[in-house]
Amino acid sequence: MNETIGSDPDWIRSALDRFERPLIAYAYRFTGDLETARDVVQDTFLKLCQADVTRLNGRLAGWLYTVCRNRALDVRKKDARTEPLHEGQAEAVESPAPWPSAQASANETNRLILDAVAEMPDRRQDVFRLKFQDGLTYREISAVTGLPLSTVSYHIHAAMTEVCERLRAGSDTAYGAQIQNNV
Amino acid sequence: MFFTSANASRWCPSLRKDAKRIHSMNVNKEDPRLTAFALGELDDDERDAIGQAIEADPELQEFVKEIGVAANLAGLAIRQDDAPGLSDDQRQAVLEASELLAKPGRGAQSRFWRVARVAGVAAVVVVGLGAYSYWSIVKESGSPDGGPGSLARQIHQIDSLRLTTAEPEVAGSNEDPATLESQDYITREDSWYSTAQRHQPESAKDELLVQADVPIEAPLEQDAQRAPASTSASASTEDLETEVDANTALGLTSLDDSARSTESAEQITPRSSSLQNVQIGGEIRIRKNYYVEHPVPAQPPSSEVNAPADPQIRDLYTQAESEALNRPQSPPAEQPESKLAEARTRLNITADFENANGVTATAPEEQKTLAFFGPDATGLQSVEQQQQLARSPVPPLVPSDRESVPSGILSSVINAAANPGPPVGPPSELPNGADAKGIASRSYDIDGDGVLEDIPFYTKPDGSQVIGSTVISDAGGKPVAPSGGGGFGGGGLSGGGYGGGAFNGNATKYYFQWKTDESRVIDNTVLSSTIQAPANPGPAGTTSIAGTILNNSDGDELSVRMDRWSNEQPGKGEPDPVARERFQLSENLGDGRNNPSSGESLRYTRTKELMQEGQSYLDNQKYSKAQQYFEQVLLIDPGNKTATRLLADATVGAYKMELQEHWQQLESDQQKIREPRYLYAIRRTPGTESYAPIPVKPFTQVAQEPLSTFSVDVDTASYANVRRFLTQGQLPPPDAVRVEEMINYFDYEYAPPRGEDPISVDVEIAQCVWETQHRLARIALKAREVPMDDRGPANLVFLIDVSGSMKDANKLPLLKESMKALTRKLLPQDRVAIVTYRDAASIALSPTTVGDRITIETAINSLHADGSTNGAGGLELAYSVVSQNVIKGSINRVILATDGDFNVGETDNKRLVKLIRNSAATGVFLTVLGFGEGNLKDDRLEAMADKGNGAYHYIDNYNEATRVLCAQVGATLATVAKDVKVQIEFNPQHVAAYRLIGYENRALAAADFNNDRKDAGEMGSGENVTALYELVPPGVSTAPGRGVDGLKYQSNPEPAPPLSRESNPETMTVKIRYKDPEGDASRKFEVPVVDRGKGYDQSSRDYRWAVAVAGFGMVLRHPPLLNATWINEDGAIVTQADFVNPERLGSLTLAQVRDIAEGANGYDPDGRRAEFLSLVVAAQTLTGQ
Repeated sequence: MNETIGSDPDWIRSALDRFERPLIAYAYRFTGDLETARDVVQDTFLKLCQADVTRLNGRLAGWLYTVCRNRALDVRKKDARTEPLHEGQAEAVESPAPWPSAQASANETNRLILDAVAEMPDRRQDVFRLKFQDGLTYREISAVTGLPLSTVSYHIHAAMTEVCERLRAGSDTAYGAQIQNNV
Repeated sequence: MFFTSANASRWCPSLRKDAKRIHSMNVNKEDPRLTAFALGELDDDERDAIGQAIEADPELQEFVKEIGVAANLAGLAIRQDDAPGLSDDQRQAVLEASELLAKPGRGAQSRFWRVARVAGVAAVVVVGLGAYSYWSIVKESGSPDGGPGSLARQIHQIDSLRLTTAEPEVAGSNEDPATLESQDYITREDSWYSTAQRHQPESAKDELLVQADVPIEAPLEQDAQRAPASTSASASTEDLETEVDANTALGLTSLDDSARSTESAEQITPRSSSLQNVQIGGEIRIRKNYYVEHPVPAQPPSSEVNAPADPQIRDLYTQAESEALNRPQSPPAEQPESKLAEARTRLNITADFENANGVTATAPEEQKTLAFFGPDATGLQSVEQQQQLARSPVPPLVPSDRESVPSGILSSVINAAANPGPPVGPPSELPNGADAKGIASRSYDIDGDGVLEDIPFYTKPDGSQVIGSTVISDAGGKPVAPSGGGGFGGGGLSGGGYGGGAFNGNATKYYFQWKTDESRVIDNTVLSSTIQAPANPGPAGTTSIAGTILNNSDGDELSVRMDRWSNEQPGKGEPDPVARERFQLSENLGDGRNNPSSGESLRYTRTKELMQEGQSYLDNQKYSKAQQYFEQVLLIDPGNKTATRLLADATVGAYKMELQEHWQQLESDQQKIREPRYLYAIRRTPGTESYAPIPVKPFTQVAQEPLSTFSVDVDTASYANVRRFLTQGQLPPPDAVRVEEMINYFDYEYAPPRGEDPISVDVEIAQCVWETQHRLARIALKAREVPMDDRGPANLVFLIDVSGSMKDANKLPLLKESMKALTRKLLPQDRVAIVTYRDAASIALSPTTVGDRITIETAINSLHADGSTNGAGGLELAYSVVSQNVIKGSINRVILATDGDFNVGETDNKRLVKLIRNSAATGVFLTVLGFGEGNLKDDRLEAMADKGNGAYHYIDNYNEATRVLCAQVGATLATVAKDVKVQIEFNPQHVAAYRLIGYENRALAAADFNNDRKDAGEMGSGENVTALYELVPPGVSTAPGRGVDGLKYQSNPEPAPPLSRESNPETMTVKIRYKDPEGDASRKFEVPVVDRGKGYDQSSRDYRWAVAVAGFGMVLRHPPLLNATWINEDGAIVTQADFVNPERLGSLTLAQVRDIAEGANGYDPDGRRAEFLSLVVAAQTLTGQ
């Protein structure tokens, strides 16, 4: 849809369809509160309506996540009612609980992965989720988080290595079967 | 472990381009590019290179596949399809916004915002432009096709309101415009929030003063919720809107009038405000409502003025508003008049500079000019452009039949102001110049026909200004001198006077109205009452003009603002029977006629000049210049709000520029660092970590100092710390590399002591690898192994830093796990206690025998990190706990675990050192475990362990924790010899000079060797200590310029004569001095050593391993050998030329180190040697070697 951005009168609708839920889930990671997350996402889209979309061609996802993230951090900071924190400290603020429904997983593989994710350091988790939950590219993640590309790459790799190890250690036969099928 | 080859290749173009080189580089499973490859994130060239590497290695193929599968599973596992979406309302709002904003005007609008931001336009709306409202209503009711949107727009006088000039800081490191924009957005929004929160309506008497509608910038519902004055729920928005708007319409008159009589600008300062989401015409706006306490008029307004609002008005407004709000989603139909309507909107905005009192509340001209904008405005419009607009064809707005206009509305709005119809006869107060102080005639093209008409300005004897007389123009537009043909009338508002004039030309009739009263001066600005529509538009074919002269305090005219109504006869090709336009002749007419030298006039003029200059600098982004100008304005005119605001803009702009320059500087620095020379930079002090500088020891001449003395060191912290850096893809700071600790990290197959002494000594001498003429001696000490069961009971007190910083996963949680592991290794009779410290020290577990494991583990589990650090108290408490249980023959230890600073002052520090030392004397030893990164106080911790007869270990992972606490439980806990010192006497016959590798901070004076009060290192059960000496045989020169000059006043020391005539084959003698763990007197034994001239090839595996590790450490300590750059504490780059290489390491390279290590990698029970190799490879990768 990036190609049709701005030219299709309905592009905002498709942007909504595509990003609304992921963005809310994303904002929720910072806000820990659904209503606030919704507000943040609405703001993000209203902002999008005003943005010069021609400049966003091909960068829509990154733009949305960046705006959403900044907005969410801002709201969280405000809500924390503490002294102003600089960015780094803000990140260190205790991260809220993961998305409620994501915790309950009947599937053993999912449980192993979610455990691995939950134990990752905040930053790695953030990057990991942006990659696999939100499907951003390394470059987009780098733009959104402000981390260097190499750091993003490192985190993803470290996270994947960990996930692989967990899966290997885990007894889930489904995973083994999948490996077999793929090999 | 990890190494950033991806990083290196990204930063080094030559690497990136050279696929072969990448290929040849060791790609292993730790390479992040593998994952990137699996996820399709690599650039073409890297993808090819990695692809080749993967193809070549089946193991990697397997690994990449596995990552691919795991990535799919991970995507599935953490996918959150079930995340809720926006609420319907929110979604709808977004869609509406996009629809409305997607109109062609969007771009221009955002352009406007940029302009508005620069100029910091702040204006206050006059909602009470009765005349405008009137015309809007006329239009609405009379024209069935008129879109309700445009009506609503008329009702809500649109304003470009900017309350603050707060600008975001430019994030220096962010190149992404989207990010910048979003930050911008947030900051701007903050100002909305703060405003809304600051002004909570306090009284039911609050009355709407002004509504300012601005394009959406802030979250709508959220704001509504935060500002109780507004609707608390979106459901009731509509009601409130309606009510509020009616209120606006109705309240205006009274506000208007009361203000007209007495209120000053200060009295109408909004006391509270709220935000709402409204849709007006083609735009979504945030409505900002300003509330004031209902002003009580000082004088009861005249009944004429304060005519009660006609209910019809309320209905009309209500209806219009609900229509506007309930309007279907389709965009407003493109009507022929829309363009003109917009133009009119633009003109209406001229009135934005009149506040609700009907007074012009803002000052200088530039601001007025800036206000001319519309949905598709290009930003600024000059007065000329404005006049152009005024000339544009005027479409019909109402049917010619005036009867269709509700008369009630007409009267309530118009009658309030205008009184007479065109009077007949010459103006009574304007005789033919006799009573006037002066008459000046100015020419303007009033009717837009391209020909100027003369407008006479009279100055009445009382100094007030009057537009007077009649302008006569024929059809060709030729101006005709004023004549008595016009008529003047007075009356109207209290204290004011109206004049009127009419004339008949051949084709065009003009009707004049004017008003010169109501002028007040606030802040150098003329405040004039609203221009009123003519009550009687005159006969068909008449054009009416009403003007307001804006004066300054000395009575000079500043500008003439006029509205024109034409009442053309229909059917004559002129489409507009009654249309109104406004134009402004806003050149400064002030000539100082009344008071030519008045300070006020000069001040005004000067202010204006300065403002213009400043504005032009601001526009040209010369912010600091602009700052100067606005500062000057504020000196002249401290209350000038516009200048204040513009100054703020300029300041912000200047700051932005500064940041930009700073950023450019950074960029260029970065560029510079990418040059090969700066490619591999080592930070000397990462974060707030601190490392004691390690002095470089040159070769020592045996003739001068035949004795070399040092204390043993069984610490291993440095190796673990170096490993942390390398696995994180950084070269370690040189001072973090302590070579002896690296060597001693490894186990060697040294023979255990067989004799009485608890320590064995083994010396091996062979050819030096990096300087083949030199010899390299390895001195190996091994302590006796004490069987676990034989040792006395252990009495351990864990002193644990539980300050907030310890809660990272690699700190306290890691420690807790390793403590549990240790507990399982301990014997049942051992005792464990836990003291924690943060703000205060406390006992988390009083001494408990290990038999009661549940109690211990429960205590361990309940540890959590929080708060700040108070190390001193903790240490004292820990020592007091351990000393309660000191038993003869037992192992007594305080085990301190911390991640950094002890937060103790110098005094406390001395006291602590004393405590540690005294306790050590009574058999209580200290082990220090360092954790974490970024704040590690390496120097401090090592010094502390040193004083406490203990060891310092750095724990970077669970394996290391286990190794230190468990695998070495014997060594860590059971000391078999303390204060172990080594002294070596070199035989000058065989050794000319020597150098001890490592142990720099363990060096002792020769006399200290026999001084039992001199503290030294301890050796635990089975521990080994390895030291390397580089020896220079006689006849081999040391490096030129090294050593000392020859003596001038005495003969240069000759090699001491041999004790016997026969040559002594001994190269050196190794002397060891130690104390039993509980003894005070030392014992000594000696081992003579003979160099048998072994070549390197003949050396043992352990020997070579020690050489490899030492070599690695030495290379890491010498950036030049790494081809790396050293960045010192100040961030300055230390160039290679600044390095001396007194160790004369020659051409030792990482590759050599690797070769040596690979040739010695045999005895590796726990995989440590293999890990070492991977670290060497990592360093190679990092340095591109």
